[in-house]
Amino acid sequence: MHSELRAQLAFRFTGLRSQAQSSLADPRALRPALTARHRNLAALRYDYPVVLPYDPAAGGFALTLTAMVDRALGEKAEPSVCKAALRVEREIRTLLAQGASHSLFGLWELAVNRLVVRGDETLPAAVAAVRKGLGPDGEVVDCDATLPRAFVLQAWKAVQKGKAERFHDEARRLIVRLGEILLADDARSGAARSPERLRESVGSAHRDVFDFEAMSGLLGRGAPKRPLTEARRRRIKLLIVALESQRFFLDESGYAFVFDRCAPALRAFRARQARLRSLARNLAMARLEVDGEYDESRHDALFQQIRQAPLSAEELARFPDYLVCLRDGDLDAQGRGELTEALCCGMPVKVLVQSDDIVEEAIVGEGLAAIAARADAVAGEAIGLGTVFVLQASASSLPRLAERVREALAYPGPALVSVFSGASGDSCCLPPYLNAAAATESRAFPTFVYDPRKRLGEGAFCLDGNPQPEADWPLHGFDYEDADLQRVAEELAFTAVDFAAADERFSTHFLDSRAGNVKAASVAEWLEATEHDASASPMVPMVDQAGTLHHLIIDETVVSLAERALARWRRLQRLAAVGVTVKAEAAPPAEAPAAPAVTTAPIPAVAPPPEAKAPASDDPYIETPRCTTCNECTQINNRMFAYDANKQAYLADVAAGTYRQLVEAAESCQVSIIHPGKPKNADEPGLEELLERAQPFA
Amino acid sequence: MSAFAPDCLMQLYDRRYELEDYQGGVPRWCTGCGDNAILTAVQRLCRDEGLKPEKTVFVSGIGCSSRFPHYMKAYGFHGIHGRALPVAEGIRMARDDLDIFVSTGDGDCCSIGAAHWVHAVRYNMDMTVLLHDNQIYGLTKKQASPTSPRGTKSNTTPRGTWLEAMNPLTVTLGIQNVSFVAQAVDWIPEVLYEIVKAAYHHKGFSFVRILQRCPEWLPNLWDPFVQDPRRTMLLTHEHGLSLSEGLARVYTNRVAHDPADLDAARRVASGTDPIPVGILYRNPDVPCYEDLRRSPKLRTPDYIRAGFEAELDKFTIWPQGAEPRRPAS
Repeated sequence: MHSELRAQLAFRFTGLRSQAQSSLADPRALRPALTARHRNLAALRYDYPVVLPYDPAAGGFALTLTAMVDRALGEKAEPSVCKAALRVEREIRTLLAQGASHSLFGLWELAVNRLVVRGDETLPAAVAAVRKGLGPDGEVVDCDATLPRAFVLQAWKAVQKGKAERFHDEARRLIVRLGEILLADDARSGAARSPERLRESVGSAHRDVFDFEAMSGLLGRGAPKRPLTEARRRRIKLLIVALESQRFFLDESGYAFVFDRCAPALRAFRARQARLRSLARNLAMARLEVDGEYDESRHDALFQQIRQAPLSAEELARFPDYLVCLRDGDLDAQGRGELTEALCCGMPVKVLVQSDDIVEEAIVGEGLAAIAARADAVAGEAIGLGTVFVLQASASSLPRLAERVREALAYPGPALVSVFSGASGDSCCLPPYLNAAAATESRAFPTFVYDPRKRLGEGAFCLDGNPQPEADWPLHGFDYEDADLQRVAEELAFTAVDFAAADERFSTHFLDSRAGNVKAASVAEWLEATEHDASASPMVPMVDQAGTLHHLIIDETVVSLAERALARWRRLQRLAAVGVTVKAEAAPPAEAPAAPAVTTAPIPAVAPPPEAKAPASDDPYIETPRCTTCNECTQINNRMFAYDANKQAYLADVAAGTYRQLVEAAESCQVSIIHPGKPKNADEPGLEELLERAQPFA
Repeated sequence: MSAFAPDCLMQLYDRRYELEDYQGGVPRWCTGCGDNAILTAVQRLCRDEGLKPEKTVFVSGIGCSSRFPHYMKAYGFHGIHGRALPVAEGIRMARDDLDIFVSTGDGDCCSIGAAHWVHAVRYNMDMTVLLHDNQIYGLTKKQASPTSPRGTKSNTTPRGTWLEAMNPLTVTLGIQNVSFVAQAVDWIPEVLYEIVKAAYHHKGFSFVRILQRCPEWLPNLWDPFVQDPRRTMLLTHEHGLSLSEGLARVYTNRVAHDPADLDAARRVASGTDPIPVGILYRNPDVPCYEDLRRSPKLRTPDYIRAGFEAELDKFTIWPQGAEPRRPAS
């Protein structure tokens, strides 16, 4: 026993097996304990398959079959109908697992027919209503190597369709309005007012009623004398032709925007730059023309100047994006260089980097393995550019991240979507969906979203798609029967070791602890501890095909893998401020109410009348802000009284009139705001009477 | 410089307007007429808001008030008696890009135009309606109007009017879909301006009754109210009118009134002495008819022709064996 213990410990430290220790008999027969219950995915209801509607606008660009069936069933379906519908759903999954490829409605019919053949003849009637309520037809895609491209392409099409609709709406409106300008000018022209044209426009029923010669003469006299200039007419016609003949928003005969490498995408973008600027310029000119704002003396030169100017990211965002779908195998040195150039050259590009296998040789080589190192480097570089929207996720998470994927593809700038498909081939004992999910769970390929429009700590970096993002590893309950047939319930952490254990390429780094000599420690606890019991070893629970639980000792290579995965995860947590207490900022002030602000300040500044300062009691003055512009005082003397910029009266020149006029103005003023004060000229006749009359206005 | 530069750059005009830019003809109203104050307030609004004259239209009916479009240097439509509102509604349906003002009087709106007035309030189309209420038919030389106070002697009522005056405020507040009602007086120009400005900014049918003087036919009607500020009750609220310090010193009769409260608005509107001045009611959530009716489809000539042909096809008798044309999509 002691020798067995030493051999196991020796394996743990060195990875070397003694002659007595055998390799795992069939590595692919074992799978991580937490995945034990998911052997038959066809029997489970989960996020796959996904339906990609042929019309992406109808309810979303990607819908899970589960959600579509649930929606079709509604809340009040009969239990028998529910049961029948779920059987059809399961049969669809089975068909897909067997390699069937059809549209949703095609698969539904196929599944129903197969079930009928097996004896359930009442099924078609039972599920007829469910079939009607399924929703849009579309391509059905399971979680496999083709899924990432199909999913991202579908999202891209949905976004581009929105852009095309907006463009066509505006372009059509502009074309119609520009055409109406020409039509209106034609209608006002001499030719349109000729007797012959007028006769045609009236129609045959009343042609004999009118004197078209006289009508033409009358209309001609009232015609505007400034028709469209020839230059403007030519410009409008050219704008119409340009908008009608653009190729950026056509389905088939237009430009292609989907590429499999960055280099041809870059070439296409550069080759189309001049046409793109021309279209943008024509749109701006058309808008100005339609609003009647185009001024040739200013805008002709302006548009000449901007002929060569590059378009900004916001402007480019109105036009179709370029979609480049790469596999990680394409990312050799040249491929990486092209990718970087595409992301930072200002091209409106969305790049999908699909990884099918994230177990790689480490950068240092020497057979040491790394997990997702290339994807990590690509994502890190993209984030470092500072303007790239980055989304990383496993294929298992894509249906739940559909809106974030759409957000990435709608982002007005370059975006990188990095997806692990899970289709690692025969080396992994798990189907692609579970392999992808395991990569997310184990933090080997964590989900994150980086939005450069926000600031770090304020939502720029988000880990929301990961299970229990505040923890190092997600914990899940695990129940099993021990050797004494007693039920044991544990909480197991799903770590990077579990992910590695499911891949036969790591099988030599695991040893079954059948003899049970080494003290078991969970991987999570082992990585957390600073000191270790020399007689203990981290172990990972695995289950074989018979359902028997095994605990596998892991060697230092795998422990290092897990350490690196944990370190990377913790870095991501810090970036996302997860588990970090952020000092709350003061709440922003409440927004002003929606009602238009009515000023409490004095009247807006205008040219102050000379009497603005507090007058001496003997000087005449007017309370100008209260003037109602009634013209009474200006009618009396428009040199003494004048209007300011707000058409309110003030004393422009007291010396321009008599004291009598001041008093008369005060008496005439509708709102009694004129105050005559005391007379300046003591020789003016009738002062005594005038002073008495001025008394009420003191 | 980018091709999609914002409008303010692309236009490159020095678009600062002065009051004179909106001055059309020289007003021929009587000296002392309250219409002058209203004209000044509207011109100030146009200047301060930078309204483009070519995008602004004034519509009127018949009466002294309805001379308004002649004195504004913008588009104008001086229509027939009582029909300012339907013309304005037609303009709104056809031209969603224009700012529309309606000048109407107590006769034009509350008498011959009453039916149009009721339904215009109901349609709640976006426009600013100024009711120049001098409580008399002035242009036709002194006949009683629906808002003439009881006992007003005029050419048609030599013994004085027999009926209580109509209250345009309570009428308007009683109509379904009412969204903005205010009252102003021409002798407080600051408040008049602020109310007209609030009415302009409201999206919907903004009805502003402006009590104004007629120096020719009813020269002393408002004197008691002009001379005694306490007989003017200013309605104040954080969502309504706020007063400058100077005005607050003079007009001490103030009441807090929430313009969102329709019941309170109706109560306040019933008062005539003191005169309630301010925003009585404002509801920005009432939908505008033009928004409800806006079609998402671009009405190109082909689209219109196709629809027209489809309608005619419904009544077409086809020769035997002839394929009917497909209806327009």
